[in-house]
Amino acid sequence: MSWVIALRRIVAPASSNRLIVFSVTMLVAITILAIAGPLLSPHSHFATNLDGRLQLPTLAGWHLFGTDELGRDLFVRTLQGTRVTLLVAIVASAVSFVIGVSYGAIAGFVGGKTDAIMMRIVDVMYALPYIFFVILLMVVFERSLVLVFIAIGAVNWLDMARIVRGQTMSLREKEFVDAARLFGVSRTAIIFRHILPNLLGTVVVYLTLTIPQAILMESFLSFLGLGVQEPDASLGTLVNAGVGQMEQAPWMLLVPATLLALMLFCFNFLGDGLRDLADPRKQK
Amino acid sequence: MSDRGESNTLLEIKNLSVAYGDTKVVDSLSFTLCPGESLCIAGESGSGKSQTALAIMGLLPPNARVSGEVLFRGRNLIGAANDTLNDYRARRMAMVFQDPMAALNPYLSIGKQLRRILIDHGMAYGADATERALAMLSRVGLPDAERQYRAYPHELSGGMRQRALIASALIAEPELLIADEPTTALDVTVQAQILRLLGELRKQTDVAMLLITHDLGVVSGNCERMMVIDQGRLIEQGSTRELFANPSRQRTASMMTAASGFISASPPRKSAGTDDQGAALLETRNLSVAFRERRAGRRQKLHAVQDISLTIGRGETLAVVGESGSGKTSLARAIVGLLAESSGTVSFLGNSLEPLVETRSNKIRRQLQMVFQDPVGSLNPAMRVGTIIAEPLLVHERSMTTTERVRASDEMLARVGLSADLRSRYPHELSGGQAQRVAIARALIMKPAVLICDEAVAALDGSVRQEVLGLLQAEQQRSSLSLLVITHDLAVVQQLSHRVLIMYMGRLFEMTGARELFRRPKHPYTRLLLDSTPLAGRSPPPDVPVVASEPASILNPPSGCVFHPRCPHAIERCLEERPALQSAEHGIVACHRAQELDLSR
Repeated sequence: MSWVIALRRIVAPASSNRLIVFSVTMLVAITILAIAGPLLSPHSHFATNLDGRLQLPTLAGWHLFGTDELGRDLFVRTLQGTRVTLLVAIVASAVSFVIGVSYGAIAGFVGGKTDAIMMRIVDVMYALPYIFFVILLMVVFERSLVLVFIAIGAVNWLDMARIVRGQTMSLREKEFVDAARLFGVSRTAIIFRHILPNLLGTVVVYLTLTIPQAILMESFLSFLGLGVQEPDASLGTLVNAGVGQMEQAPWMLLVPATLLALMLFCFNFLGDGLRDLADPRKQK
Repeated sequence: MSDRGESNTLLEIKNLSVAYGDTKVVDSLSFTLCPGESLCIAGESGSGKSQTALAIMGLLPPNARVSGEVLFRGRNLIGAANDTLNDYRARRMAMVFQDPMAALNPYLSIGKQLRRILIDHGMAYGADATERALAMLSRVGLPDAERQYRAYPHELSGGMRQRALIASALIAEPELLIADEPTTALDVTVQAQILRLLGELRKQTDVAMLLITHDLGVVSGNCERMMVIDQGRLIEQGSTRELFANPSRQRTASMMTAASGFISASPPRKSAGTDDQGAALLETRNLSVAFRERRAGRRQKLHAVQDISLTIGRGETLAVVGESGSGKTSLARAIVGLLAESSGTVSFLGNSLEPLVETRSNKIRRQLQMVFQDPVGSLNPAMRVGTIIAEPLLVHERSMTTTERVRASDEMLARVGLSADLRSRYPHELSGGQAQRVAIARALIMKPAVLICDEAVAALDGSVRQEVLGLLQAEQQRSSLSLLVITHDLAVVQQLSHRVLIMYMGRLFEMTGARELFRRPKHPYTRLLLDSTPLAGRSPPPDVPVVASEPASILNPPSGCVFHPRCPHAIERCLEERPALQSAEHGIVACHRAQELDLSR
């Protein structure tokens, strides 16, 4: 109940903020295109055609964005890559939300030794050399998309846990929490009914700022060859391939790079807009 | 009067209005102030009194629309350039704010802040500036001025800070001093001293004073003339004496009642059906609270509450009175079980209770409920009023259906005097008084036997405060509810309580009937509290003893009786031996000289 109310408090003013409306519209359009686009095209993302290599974008064979060095259709490949990138964004934010928020809220609310131990674990995870950790994972297990998700998820929830913990600790001291303790509300109910709804503003804002981080991280891993494998693509691997063909076929770099930049812009704008909304000093 | 000017008006305000958007907070206000005169602007919160002061000083935020004229010695300051205003600020007019901690720069020592003012205005330099700053500090009654000169704001107590702020306002010898609620954040005993200081300084320096306050008790004895404003408009003005004797407007009269309840009302009698001492409903024995503090790497124990034993009978009101830091809130929180650091026993109907509320049974929990100081902070901002009031039912009446819960919360809303359509509001949409009523409704929906009110009306304006106190009294009559009222305000005690417990630095000093307390206090500290409370229509007694002005640090309590550094009656024995509780005529008291001293007045 109170969750819905807390969400509504953020969503209602958001609809009058132009930056937010623009970002959300763009992101929804990109998502729809990524899902529906490949179905409408006659090409598949892995079929090669060595006769039609490095074609310029053309309407003739429905190669809207041209083809790559193996003659694969870049339109379908880009949209397929966007799917992977969006999936990373969703998984990363889900992990960050579910694990980060509950971990932080429990540590902050229980406090004392539990808090100390839980937060030291977070510190240890922070201290791990990240790339080394990912390479190790790739060596020990087989390379797969799931592993990329795990690698990104493992890092992304840490910031969220810290932020939520800090907020929870200040909310815990509020008198309405004392009042709830006095009439016998259980600890779990206090966390879910009294603490989390009041954190939602911060969490939503922070989430939109985590997503671009995750996308960049996936692109980075794929660029290094640690992420998505051929014939599957992500925007990161496409940019990597595009760099190789920059001189003969600049569109191979321009198309995925532009789309990636556009998505990152939108998520960042959305985060900034929401942060302004959550800050009462920026309101009229 | 003053050698500065020949003109006989210092400040003239003509049709001053301040508006934010469409809301007018000050509405065509006009008044004049002569050199050396003192004028009080009184009004409840939101009446526009602080906005007026800020407008005079040119300190309003840029989105405020100001019109009218502020003539300082004939020169209009509205719309003047900031550089011009800076010439006037400090040198010709200065301001003392409500919160000295916020008004002083935490990164500079007090002395540097004072010197800065002199140097910036080209009034003194080098050793000369230092000397004048030191002189000013001792003039505002700061003991050991040399040391305070080097101290940082956080090292001073509230009262000392306010003195330092007054020193910084007066150091450039302004002609006008604006004091905006200068004592609201202070304890009564300190408040009395600051008010007296302002009065003395005014006589010595011939500065004109504009005192802004919501507490009419502060006005009498300090100002010659007063104006009462409400919603930005002047509703009444005249000489202080005349207005107190004969207020013509309803608003003024109600503010007066709020401030003078103390002298007119007499403590309530116990209602019929009240048990006498025999059966104690709630009892504490040797209840103590000790927090572990870490100061400069060393672990120390802070004894916030020490060995308090008290009883409350059914339908009885016990007030716990003390200054800030006396441990009264810790006592209340220990009783309801919110503090893990407590020791000693709390028992209800003879059964001793677990120290923490989480380990008590639901049956016991619902009997002890609490209303907190901050009305808005004690309500979850993400919940609607109806849900807030009904939440206890989720725990205690599990069989209730949603409709029954809604009905029950609507009934409670009506009972605390709120209309049913408030149920879908959020806490931030409520006024302070409404929010406190909601908090009371939430506590009462469980039908508790004891309600603990921790400064429940301290954050409310005078007339709203009366209404909430009235509500508590009505509830007590209705269901023979026992009240434990934590307060620093003796007017609340007088109106509500049957018995009173006086606390100082965590220790019980005196426990007695409310009537006896006001007529024949037994402890010198009680006398000091009674004398310090400002009352409408009464000048503060001229001979309030001002010994060491403020409580000592609780981390480093004085030897023997902890009150001896402030006590006008202290003898050798008080420095060495801690007084034991002894029985007096109507109660108990902890003072070596309780038998010999006659403190009635």
